[in-house]
Amino acid sequence: MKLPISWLNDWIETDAAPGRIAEALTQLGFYVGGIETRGHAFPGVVVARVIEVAKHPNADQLSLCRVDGGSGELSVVCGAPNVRAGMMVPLATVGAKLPGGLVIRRSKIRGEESQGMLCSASELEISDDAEGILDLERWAGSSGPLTIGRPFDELLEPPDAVLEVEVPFNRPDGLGVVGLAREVRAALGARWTGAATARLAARWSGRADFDLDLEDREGCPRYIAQAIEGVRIEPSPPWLSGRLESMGQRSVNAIVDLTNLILLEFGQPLHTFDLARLAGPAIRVRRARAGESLVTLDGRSRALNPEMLVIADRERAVAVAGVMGGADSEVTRATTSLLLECAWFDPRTVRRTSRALGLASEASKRYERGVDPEIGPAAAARFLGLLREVCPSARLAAARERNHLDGRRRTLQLRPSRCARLIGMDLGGAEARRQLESFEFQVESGDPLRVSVPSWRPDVSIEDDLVEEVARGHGYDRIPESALASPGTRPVRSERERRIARARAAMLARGLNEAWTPTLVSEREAADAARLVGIDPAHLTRLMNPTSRESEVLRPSPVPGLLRACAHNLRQGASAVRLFEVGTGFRAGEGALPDESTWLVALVCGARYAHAHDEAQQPLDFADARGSWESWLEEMRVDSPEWRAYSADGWKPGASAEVATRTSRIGWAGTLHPSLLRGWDIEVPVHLFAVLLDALAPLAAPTRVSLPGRFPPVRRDLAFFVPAATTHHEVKQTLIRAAGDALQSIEVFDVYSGPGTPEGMKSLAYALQFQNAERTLNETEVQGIQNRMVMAVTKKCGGRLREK
Amino acid sequence: MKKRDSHPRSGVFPEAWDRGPDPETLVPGQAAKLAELREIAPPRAADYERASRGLAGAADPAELLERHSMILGRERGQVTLALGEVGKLPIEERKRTGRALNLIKRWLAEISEARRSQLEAAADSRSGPDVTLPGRRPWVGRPHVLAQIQSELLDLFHGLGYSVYESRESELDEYNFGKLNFAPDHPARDAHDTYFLSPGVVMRTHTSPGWVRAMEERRPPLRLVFPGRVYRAEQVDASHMDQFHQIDGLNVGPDVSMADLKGTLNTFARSIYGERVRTRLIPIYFPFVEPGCQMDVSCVICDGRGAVTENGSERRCSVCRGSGWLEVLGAGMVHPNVLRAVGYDPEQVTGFAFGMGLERIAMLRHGVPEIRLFLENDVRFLGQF
Ligand SMILES: [Zn+2]
Repeated sequence: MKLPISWLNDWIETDAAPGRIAEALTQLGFYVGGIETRGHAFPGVVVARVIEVAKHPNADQLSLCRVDGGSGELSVVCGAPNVRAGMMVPLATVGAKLPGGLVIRRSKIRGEESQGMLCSASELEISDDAEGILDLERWAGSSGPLTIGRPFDELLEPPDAVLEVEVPFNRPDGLGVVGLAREVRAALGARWTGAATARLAARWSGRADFDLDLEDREGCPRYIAQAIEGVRIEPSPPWLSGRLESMGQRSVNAIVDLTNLILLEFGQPLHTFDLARLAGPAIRVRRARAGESLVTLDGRSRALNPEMLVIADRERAVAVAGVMGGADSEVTRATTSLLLECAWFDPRTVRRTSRALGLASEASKRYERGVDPEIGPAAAARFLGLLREVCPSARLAAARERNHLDGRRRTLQLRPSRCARLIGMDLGGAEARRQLESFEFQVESGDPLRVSVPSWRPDVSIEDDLVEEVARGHGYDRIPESALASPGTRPVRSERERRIARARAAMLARGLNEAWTPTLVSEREAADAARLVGIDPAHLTRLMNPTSRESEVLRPSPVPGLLRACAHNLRQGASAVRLFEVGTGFRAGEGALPDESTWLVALVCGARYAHAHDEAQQPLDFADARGSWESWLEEMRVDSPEWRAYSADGWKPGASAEVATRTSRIGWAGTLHPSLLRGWDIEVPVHLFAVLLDALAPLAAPTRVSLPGRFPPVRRDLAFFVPAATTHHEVKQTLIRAAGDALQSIEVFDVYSGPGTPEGMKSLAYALQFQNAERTLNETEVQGIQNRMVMAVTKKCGGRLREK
Repeated sequence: MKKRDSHPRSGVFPEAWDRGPDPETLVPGQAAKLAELREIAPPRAADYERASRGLAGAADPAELLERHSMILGRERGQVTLALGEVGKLPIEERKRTGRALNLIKRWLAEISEARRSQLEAAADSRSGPDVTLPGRRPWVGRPHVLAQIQSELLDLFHGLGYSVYESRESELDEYNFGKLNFAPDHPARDAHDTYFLSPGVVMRTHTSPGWVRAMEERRPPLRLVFPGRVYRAEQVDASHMDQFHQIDGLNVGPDVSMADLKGTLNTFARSIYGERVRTRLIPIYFPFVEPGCQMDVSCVICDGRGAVTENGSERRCSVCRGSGWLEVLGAGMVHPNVLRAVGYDPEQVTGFAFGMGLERIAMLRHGVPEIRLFLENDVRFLGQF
């Protein structure tokens, strides 16, 4: 909403600078985003008469003029073709400053002295017209007599400041100049102007002979209909079109402009029908009939339904109530009689209708937030008062008001103690009363205060709303800043928070950047990511109203976004991409809400080192990636995770695994299939790791540590031939079980299946370390354990010791 | 050697050694030593001179070792052997020769050692690594800029007594709107362009539904912060993203007031935007608070002046658009209808709440021009934080 200071001054008496007024409005919650200046001052520019025009002796295009600017004759060189003797012109005298910043100096032009400059409209920035010198006698913009030497400023409205005000959602009164004037008045302690008081007190009154019927009294409890005859549709006078232009609106004609003026001033929408086009003439405010339709002012045909409120004549709908008029009854150049509508419509009804039609207007915007139900008669009176000015031929004819509003104001109680408790300072009942009264609430003293709420304040409905009014009036800036008191609560970091913090830190330590990627992804991306971890794409969750195909499905895990980021970085020439994300994945749940789970997904591809200039620099492979994931699991204290072969669409066959603890499956890892990667335009191998963070056991340190052994450890290596299909995991588990407590560590150090291996077998070699907590192990004991281990592998895995 | 003499003859060492350099640079005082030997045992002096030049002229450690053993080796070193023979000499010669040989042994050992060090030093300087070459460097990972800001805020509020409450991202309309005092059909809902999953189920448009869930689960007093991702059905461009991040805070207790809110918000502002920052609270409307307010901080770019000096001339500050203030968060006293909706009695407890956007803070602090950058994850962007 724009607020021209000149218009504000029409309503309240204040000489405060625009900046001060902006400050006051902002402090009250009407944020002023900017101040624009309209129009200019023209110091040094005067009204002058051209006495004589002669050709410039040295230039064909220029003329040499003698000019009377009120203080003696001047000689001025001029290049405009339209200059002629006797013409009244704006003369910029020496020292004058033009709006564009040009300062006029005495100068010589082609050898002839010029003691000023004759100006075009565009040089004065009053219009775009650069076609010659402004002929003041033909110029419509001037007011007052063209006296030679008169300052040009006096011909124009003075420059005006226009505030750009952000009106809060709950303050429909702020959508009118009067409403904003009330706030400024409260803040600055200003008085209404005499004219303003008269306008606010004015009440429409008219005959009671128009055929008006309110069939839906809930949707429309109040309606004033006023017929006007003898109307001539003409352009607006400059003051009216200027005022609308200062609000950023185009002038149409005097009648339309006048309704817009009232809308902007009082926040009360008015509508005018061409009376001759109304059957009856009559007005019925009713629900639309099933199947009824209407062509609205914007030329579109609207299908109506009985949920919608319409204005109808005796036969058909002629307007969508509070939203937009019909094209058929629009006021045109040919209109000679009008019907003025000044009504109050129920906010919810207008809102429903506006939404159902997908049609909003300046009127519907105000009605749906709540127009002052009491302002109608004053607004209608103001309209008719101004109509006499802009259209003297108009005569009032038939009219009718119907009003089913009770006119009672809401009353609330305010305990000063409640006020003190919420604000944190005790202002006392008297100050509360003073502040409320400044906003025109009526207050009866006492405890509690009895407060009656003005009709234009639908936002004030409970006691705490009054507290806000008191705080606003007193000034939020004057509320003290309390020392932060001890609350009786203590901050806790949950186990889950700590676990997630460690999960992130451990990934960062492995040289992966943390990414935050979009939740909303495409159908294909989500489906591909779902299959990777065994989720049926049918269980994905989709948006009902997506804004693009690229973001219409909720990700099942952060995989799609990470692949997007991977592709982006590769396109930008990255030699490696190493990213992880901790984020939510979604899938359809049992009830209305989807299931949400917290994932950690990590992705690596490209060079093994950030830098290496020797043979160590290679593209990293699955073993590199898996090594990081394993050490991450160790850092997360995952107890002996098991890597099991796993296959699903999207993984490279034979290069993917699921990871499980003794109790649950916690994640998936592997190399992605080139065909899946092609969906993201990725052409290099990408290794992925996806973990369900909530499936990890709580991070817990042991309650009793085990003492590290202090006796000499014994090292042994054992190599076995085992059937090719036997996994390392089986052999390792067999060895561990056979060895018992003395086995401190076991690592596989060689896997071989080349020449020298028996048919159908492979070789696995293990480095073992034995240690006893209480004493040194002797050779016999170690040999005994070793024999048990060999025996177990022979029996359980079908293997045998590989002799040296 | 044909015969074991009473003393090694001059010429037991190769003549070629004479071409070696004067050992004076390795061990100073050679002239005096030679003079002394010539005094005691002139033939030995010649042997010493040749041997010393042989050691000084050894080209590499292997040659030095070979010459050293020829001269001083325990088994076949000429000087060692000669010393072994000294006992067989006549008594007066024994003393002189013995003394000369011991001097020679010591002095040659000194030269041998000095040459060895010299050769090693030369070898080190030739074959050592080029220290200007980079090493084999592992990758470094960095936390996301929004994660850093989030942690900083959570740490700050943890210090003020707040615990984290994580709430769902997909949410019932009832929790996102209804229980937060958005009346059905209220125009305030229009400000929240909402993504729907099904009728009645939305992607949360703010982190505030977390308040409702937390208050329904817990009894007052409580101090909680609610970090997380929120969604608005908007077309994505440089300054709009349909997914972004907020942190809400909630403090409910028997006598929580706007003055407490102000103390908390000012602490936040000074911590995040610097000690010198000025703040102001102005009224604003949100359905879930009453009274409601917005906190502005003095513009971090122009220091609240509204203008910046560029090439000597004043220009309007583009960040605060000349106002000198930046909106950084919304706040207010929890609306009694919200307290009632979760079963609290607004006469028993009051509370304040606030909410802010992580992206906004990151953009102001780091001059990030486009909101899209945060979810694009370009490593050249991420690597700067
Ligand atoms: Zn600024």
